[in-house]
Amino acid sequence: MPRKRIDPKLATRLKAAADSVEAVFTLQPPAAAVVAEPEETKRLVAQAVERVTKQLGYGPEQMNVFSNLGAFAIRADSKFLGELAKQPEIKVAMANEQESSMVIEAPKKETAKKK
Amino acid sequence: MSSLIEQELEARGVAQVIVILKSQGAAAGIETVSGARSGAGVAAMAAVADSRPSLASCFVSSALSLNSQIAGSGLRDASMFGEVAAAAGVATSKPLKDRRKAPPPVRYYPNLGVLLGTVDQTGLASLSNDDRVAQVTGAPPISPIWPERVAAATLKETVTWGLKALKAPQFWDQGVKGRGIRVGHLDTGVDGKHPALKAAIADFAEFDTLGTLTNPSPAPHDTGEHGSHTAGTIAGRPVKGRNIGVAPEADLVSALVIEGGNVVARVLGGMDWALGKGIRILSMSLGFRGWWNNFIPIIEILRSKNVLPVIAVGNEGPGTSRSPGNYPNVVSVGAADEQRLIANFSSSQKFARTDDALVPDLVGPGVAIVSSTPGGKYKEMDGTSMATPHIAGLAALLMQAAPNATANEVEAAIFKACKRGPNMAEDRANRGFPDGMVAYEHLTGTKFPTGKPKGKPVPTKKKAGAAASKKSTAKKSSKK
Repeated sequence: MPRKRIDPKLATRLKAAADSVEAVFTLQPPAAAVVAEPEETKRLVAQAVERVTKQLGYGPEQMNVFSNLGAFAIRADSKFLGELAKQPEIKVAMANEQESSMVIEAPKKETAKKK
Repeated sequence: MSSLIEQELEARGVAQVIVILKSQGAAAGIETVSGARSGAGVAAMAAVADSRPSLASCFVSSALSLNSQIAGSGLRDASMFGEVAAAAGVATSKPLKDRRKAPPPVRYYPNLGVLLGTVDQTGLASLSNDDRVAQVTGAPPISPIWPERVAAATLKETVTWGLKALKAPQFWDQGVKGRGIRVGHLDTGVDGKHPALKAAIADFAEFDTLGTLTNPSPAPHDTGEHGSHTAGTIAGRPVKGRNIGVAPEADLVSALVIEGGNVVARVLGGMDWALGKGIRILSMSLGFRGWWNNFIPIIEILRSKNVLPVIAVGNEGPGTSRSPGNYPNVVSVGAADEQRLIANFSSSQKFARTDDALVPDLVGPGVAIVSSTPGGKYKEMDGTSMATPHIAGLAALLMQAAPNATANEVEAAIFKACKRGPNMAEDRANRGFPDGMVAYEHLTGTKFPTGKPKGKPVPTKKKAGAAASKKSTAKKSSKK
């Protein structure tokens, strides 16, 4: 079975959260390809989400598929996301909201020039 | 074991750890065996008899360690070494000159009863099982908060220094200005009314927290000024004869994905959308501090679609980097100034991997960069954020000049065209600073044309990519 990776921040959040959580999942790529075709990505996402929906009896609040990237973002309760992370279609599960920022702040002038 | 340690061990083979001792006396072995630095009070503890193996033996003095990075960095003051000590509440007593000579395997903070050092997997296991140790935790990245380094500027020069340094005007003289090349630009947005930018923006979109396209799509705007500045460097149009853009006819596909900057789906939404718009290059002057590997498969997808990701390495200095700018499969960009000196703030880091172990891959113009900001203004900024769009713009010029070249071939040509100056340490600059004309020659296998072009852009006699095939080839050759 292909290796699966769960972002520790998401794991922590799923344990702690009582309300809904936002997460981002990437899909296992098909054999001999880096990413599934856009339509196949949509089908695989729907398949995994429907399986968990049937299992738990309820679905996610909102989701958005990144069909060119083999990935999707989803908002659901923590139990739903925990089950979804276990599905065979999933490769990486990560928290949507990270603690740190991607913004790279400009440095101050005094530090700018040095060998 | 904390996830931070796991991630560091996976990425670099070693990890910085903080070891909290059960009692101060437990550290006696540190002084006895290593003779390493310690503060007041250790001499007394050294007298404490303890026949057990020293805790110092659990640490490694690795070339990958933070202390080694600092020791070799040539920093003269305000080093991160000092900040580590300050963070732990300990004054550094020895001059930095002495500290540089032999990076210690472990540092001891007697007042705190804490050790700070670098361990490998074996050392970590030994520490975790030692009854003198209360807890082992990951050492979080040192994150100084820099004030903005921004200064109002006017366009005094007809061509900014960064454009000259990359030899962009020589491309323009041949009619090569990036025409027909779409460059993805993920940032704080872009000011669509700026005279240097309004004709450069081919497409603009904004995304919500789940990465969903805002509908209707707003007019191009910037939530700050970072995005307008980076966009101007990639493809800013000349205004009154003054140039800020490396590729002044390239088309920007610009996505507003950062305000808070911490929402993954917004960035993915922007990438997904830009891919669908036919970009050839993705310029991203953003990244998470430290090693965060969740974007690796996403970057692999970009590469598989023949898109060249050009990404800033970060502004936190030696021994640091940001993700995805520290991945092996991106063009990782650091910053240099007009004299080709590496900017003190420019991040650099070695990783325990065989492929592309050192980041950044190269350095570009990143100090005193004048470019566009909202309101029709211009400002001077420093940062690897400013160096990154220069390299993205250079890639756009090369892609127009050699339209059949792949992203891998363009990357390899840029790498081969890099040169380290006399003041560029390899561990800071890696391959060095690129020369656009040399990159062209590597890419096409022909001399850079001189004189005026005859109707068509730069002629290419040889098949594009003939001289530059793979990233790995470029790495080997550039390190010779």
